[in-house]
This record gives sequence, C-alpha cells and structure tokens, in this order.
Amino acid sequence: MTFIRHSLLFFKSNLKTLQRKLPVLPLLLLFPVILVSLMAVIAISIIQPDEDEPLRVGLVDLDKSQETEMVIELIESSSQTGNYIKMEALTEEQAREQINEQLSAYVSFPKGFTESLYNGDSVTLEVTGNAGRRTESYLVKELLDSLARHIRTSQANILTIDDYLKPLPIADDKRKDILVQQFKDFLIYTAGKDKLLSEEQITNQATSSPVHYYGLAAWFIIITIWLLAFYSFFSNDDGIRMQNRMRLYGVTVLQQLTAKITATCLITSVLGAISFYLYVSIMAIPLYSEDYIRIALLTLLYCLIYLGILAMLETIFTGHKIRLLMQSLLTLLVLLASGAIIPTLYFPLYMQHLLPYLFASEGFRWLQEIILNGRFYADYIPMTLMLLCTVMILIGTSVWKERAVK
Amino acid sequence: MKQIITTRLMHWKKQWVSLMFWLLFPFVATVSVIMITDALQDDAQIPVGVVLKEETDASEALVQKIKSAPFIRTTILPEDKALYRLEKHDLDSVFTIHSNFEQKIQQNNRSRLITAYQSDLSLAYSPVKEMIVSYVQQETGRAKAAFTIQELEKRYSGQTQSTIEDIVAKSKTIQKEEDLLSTNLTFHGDHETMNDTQRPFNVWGLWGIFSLLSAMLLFDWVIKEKQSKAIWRLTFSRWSLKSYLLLNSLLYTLVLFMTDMLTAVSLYYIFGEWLNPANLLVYRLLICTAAFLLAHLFKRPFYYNTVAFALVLLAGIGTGALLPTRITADWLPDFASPLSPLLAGNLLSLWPLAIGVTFVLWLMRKEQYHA
Repeated sequence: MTFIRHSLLFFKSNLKTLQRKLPVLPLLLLFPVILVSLMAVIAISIIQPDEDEPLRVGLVDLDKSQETEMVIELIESSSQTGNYIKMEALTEEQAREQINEQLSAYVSFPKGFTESLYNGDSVTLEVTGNAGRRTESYLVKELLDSLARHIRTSQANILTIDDYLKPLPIADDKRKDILVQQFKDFLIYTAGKDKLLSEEQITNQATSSPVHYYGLAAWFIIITIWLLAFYSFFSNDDGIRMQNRMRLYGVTVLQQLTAKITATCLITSVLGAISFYLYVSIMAIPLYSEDYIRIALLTLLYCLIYLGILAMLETIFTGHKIRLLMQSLLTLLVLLASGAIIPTLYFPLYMQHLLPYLFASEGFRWLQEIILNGRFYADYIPMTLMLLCTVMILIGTSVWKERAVK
Repeated sequence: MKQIITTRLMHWKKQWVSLMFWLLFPFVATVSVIMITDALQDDAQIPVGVVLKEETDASEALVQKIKSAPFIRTTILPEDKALYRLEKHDLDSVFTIHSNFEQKIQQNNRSRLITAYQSDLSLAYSPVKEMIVSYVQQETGRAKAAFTIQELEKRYSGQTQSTIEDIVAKSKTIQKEEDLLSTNLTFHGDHETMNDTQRPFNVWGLWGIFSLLSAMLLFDWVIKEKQSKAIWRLTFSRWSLKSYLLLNSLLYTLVLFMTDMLTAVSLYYIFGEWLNPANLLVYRLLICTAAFLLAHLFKRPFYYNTVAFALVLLAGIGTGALLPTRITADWLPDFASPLSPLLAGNLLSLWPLAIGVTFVLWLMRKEQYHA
C-alpha cells in the first residue's frame, strides 16, 4: 500500500515537472521526428539518384587501338539511355581538368591494353576517383569490376580460340583479323548479357510496400526515442543528500523508478497512439478494432521492457554521464536488433537464431505480422516472460543498490 | 599558470577514472564500431532462393557456384514455396533455372535461361543478379567459343578435331592460370592505392563524432566549478573568473590534443588512415570552444550532458558519420558540415566562423564577479 502511495506521489510530481517545463515539450517531441526525417532524407537521396544530375564518368583511351575504341564507343552508347550513370570519352587532359569538378571518376585504358589482352599478359584498368565524391567513386569501381569479370571471360575464350587456330593452316594476318572479329563478337555478346535472364517483380498484398514497412519502422524508432527522451527528462539527478533524506521517509529507489516508468509510459502511449493513428490513416491500412487492442498490448509490453532495462541501467551506473552513454547504447542496440533500421532478414545467420529471445525483434516482428501481413494473432507469451524477467532483475538491482551503495 | 595546473591536478586526482574513460572513449569506440561492423559485414548474407527445374550437371554446377559466393545464403526449394516466401520478405530474391538449361547452353542459345524474381523490398537484388548473370555468361561464353572453334576448324581444315568438352576445359584453365585483368582505384591527389573493400564507416568521421561527445561531456567542469562555492575565493587570488576558466580550458584542450595525437598514430597503425595534424588541431580547438561556450548556457551538469548527447546524435546523423558510408550521400554542403574542418581542412565554413564569433563575443562580455 505504501508502495503504491509513494509511487503515485512521485508519478504526480513527475507530471508536475513536465507541466512546469512545458516549453521543453515541443523540443522533446520533435527531436526523434527530426532524426528520423534526416535519416529518411539521406536514404532517399541515395535510393533515388537525381535523374537530372547523373553521375559522370570519363573514359580515357591511352591505347588508341581499334579494340579500345570499340569498347569505349559501346559503353558510351549503352550508358546514354535512361541510366543515372553517364559515361563519356575524354582525353587525358580533359579528364585531369574535370576530375576536381563534375566528374565522379575516370577510367583509363592503359597503353598496350589490347596487346596484353591478346597475349594473355595481365593488365590493370586504372580508376581515378574524385576525392570529394568517394562514395560515387566506389560505385564506379564496383561497376567496372563487374565489367572486368565479363572481359576476363571473353578474353580467356579469345585466347582459347587463338590457341586452337595456331595449328590450323591460316596466315598470321588472317588469324589476327579473325581474332579482332571474335573480339567484336564477344563484346556484343557481353553487352547483351541481360538476355539470358527474364526479370519479374513480385508485389505483396496492397499493404506491404516499402513505404508501409519503413513507415512502421519510423514510428517504432520515434516512440523508442520518445521513451528515452521522457525517461531522461524525468531523471533529475538529486544529490546523495536528497536520496538519503528520501530514505528517511521510507521511500525506496524502486518506488521512484516505478513512478518514472509509469509517467513515461503514460505520456508515450498518448503520443504513440496519436502518431500511430496518423500513420494508419495516411497509409490507409485496413485494421479491425481487435487489431488495435493487439497492437496496443504489444507496444505496451515492448515499452515496459525497454523502460525496465533503462531503469536497471540507472541503478547499476551511478555517474550520469556513463548512465546516459549506456542508455544510448542500449537504445541503439534495441533499434538495430528490432530490424527497424535494417530488416532482420539480412542479418548473419547466428544472429537470426538469437532474435526470438530479444524483446525488440519479437515486438517489431509481431507488429509487422499484424499491420503489414494482416494476421489476426499475436503471441504475447514470450514477451510477457521477458517482462517478468526484467521486473525481477530490476527489483534485484534496486534492492542491491539500496543496501550496497550508500 | 603553475597554480592553475596544481589546482587542476588536484581536481583530476579525484576524477581520474572518469577523465581517463572519456579521454580514451573516442579511440575505443571508433575501433570497436569498425571492428564489429567489419566482422558483421563479412558474416551478413543475402538470403536467395533457387528453384531447380532440371537437375543436370550444368545446373548443379551453377548452384554450387552461387553457393560458394560468400555473401549469399542459398536455399533450394520448389517454385510456389519460393515465391510465397519472397512475398513474405523471407527471401531477398528468387532465381528459377528453367528446364533445358544444359541443353540450351550446349546449343549456344542463351535467351531466357533463368527467371529472376524480386520483391519491392529487395535491397540486394542487383548485385546478386549481376553475379549470377556473370556465372551463366561464363558458361555460355565458353560454349560460344567452342562453337566458333569447331566452325573455324571446319572451314580451314575441313573437319572438326576438337570436342566441345576439351575446348571448354581449355578455356577454364586459361582463365584460372592467368590473372588477366584487374581494376585499381586511386583518388585524384593522393597516390596511395585504396583498399579493395570499402569500410562500412568513415574512420575519421566516426572519430570526429565520438570526440565531439567526449569533449562536451568533459567540459561539464565549467558548470560544476561555476556553481561551486570555492569559485568565490577567486576574488582573493590574482585570477579573474574569465582567465581562470580560459586557462583551465586551455589545459583541457592540451591534454585532449595530446590524446588525439596518440589516437591518430594508433588509428594509422590499425586502419592505415592518416589525417593532417593541422586539421586535427583545428578541429580540437573548435569542439573544445564549442563545448566551453555551450556549457555557459546551463546551470546543471545533468541537463547539459543530456543536451550534449542529443546534439551529438543529430550531428552524427546529419553529417552521415554515424551512417554506413554505403548509404551516405554528400547531401550536406561542405561549408555547413561540422566535420568539414576535420575531414577536408575547411576553415572558412559555417561552424568555425559561428563558434569564433560567439567566442569573441563571450570574451568581450563584462566580467560579472569583480572584486
């Protein structure tokens, strides 16, 4: 009874603090929203590169043979259509001049390139990147690597042909001609490589587009950061004297923590509900009323476990700098493990086996199942068990702290 | 100055654990983040489904090749199941090897040997597709070479002497024996060759953000000491409050900069990435001044520290230093990025100017505690 009375008292005092510092509230609310939108802006600018401003890559021919001219012409013409990478032939001086400006990178075909190809000597294609645009340069390198893989195969084949032609009664000139012809053939053959594969895109039911997925992920990230922000907001680091005086009144650490968790949870629930309603109505996701209950339960379980661990960290680490560091680290891990940033599907296998034991991924997975995949069922038992464990450990650490740390 | 140093050392004697921790924090955090993500990146795999509609040597060989690619986790399963799992986003993409695969390759016919399915959430579809296409292309290219040779032999000596198997084997050995064509990336200006693999994070960007955090957290002494009763006694010494704070922050900056140099050397040995010490010095002065000025706005260290965390997080994501380099665009103009003095040696940008002006204003402000 005293426990509840004390917790209620601190709960009220927490709400009062919030009331007193109302001007801070918009900042707290907007902080995660700004963070998530920043991430979204950055991610989108990558995924959808500017069509008007394509990546420009120069091709420099130092060899000036018939074959390299052919290769460059082919690359140039194939990059004209619709791609966001634009390749163009340049002289060495032009490339050197432009590399500090518009060019993302330039590729030089070295002297004696063709000769070495026919002789089977090793050659290196040099990519010179723009130091100011490193990411783009790596992209060009990757592209060139895949091109080099194709040239390598063609080259091995041409060398094989040459090998088999040597014993045949063909004049040297004639043989060279045949090889050049073969080179051309293989080049065109390589350019048409996409013929061997037909591509199809599969879309899930109407509700499962990437926008829905990342919308849910953004909501999940935002409420997690709200939880952290409000929890930190309610933590006022009273000095040891204050704590001692509290103890004289029979107030335990656990009561204060409980009050803090309840207050944070209450405020985040209200905000979370509003933002969830916005999400569902903007994305027009069909949900039944029972679904809302399931989602609310899952979110509540997730919030309580997360806050419980935050409180646990607070009891373990006394210095507030280290405590904030640990709590931020925990938040980062929780968000990563949930799959809200990178889908869990791409995790290493040994980590995927661990996921069912983590509350964050369990919570986010069931939310996905209900909201995106339209399931009418959620398994609350694992998360309830995890919550019980968290509560037990929290009680343990707070009692330990009460006794050991004076 | 001697007195300042002695009093500071007396403070540090009591705080040495926390001081050491935050001095070492940027280095330790940078190294561990990069090592962990390196390891994870090596282990991360793209789940790909393969549907086999014929089981011949050629299709088996292709499956083996796909399986041996380190970044792919292959599952062989029937088509309907594969497509269902793709729809549920359990698989990144599905590749169906059609019947007559072997026969078509041997007949030098390469149209539509494989069907590739991707979903709208497939993040890694195009590299996997490229890889599979290049494998199949290898096989079909060899078949094409064999056909050409047989044709030429027929034309010039009247008969075919070599079998397709022989030619294909020959081509394979040639490709294996000779490492024929490679690519190499250098950046304009520096002559060092870059590593083949790109790091998931920019080492110095990451360090810049972590040291911003540690500098801010270390500078909470400004708040603590301005609030303490002892500060009133400054009136009886020959130091004014302003000069006391300035000299102490200079001391902090010096210690931090020495740690920076050690960190720079260690990072160079571990990752081979060097940075101009002048940039390092400028950045260090910049973040220390910024932390010093910010600390003057607060009365309680706790709020200051919380705000420091929030600001650092914003800066980290805003500049892209905390995001993998693969998805980082240079969307922030160079003059607005707080990291540009460190990474590009860009002195005349927004932040150095803003901080410089604020600092001068602070210097000119009237002294509050005068004797």
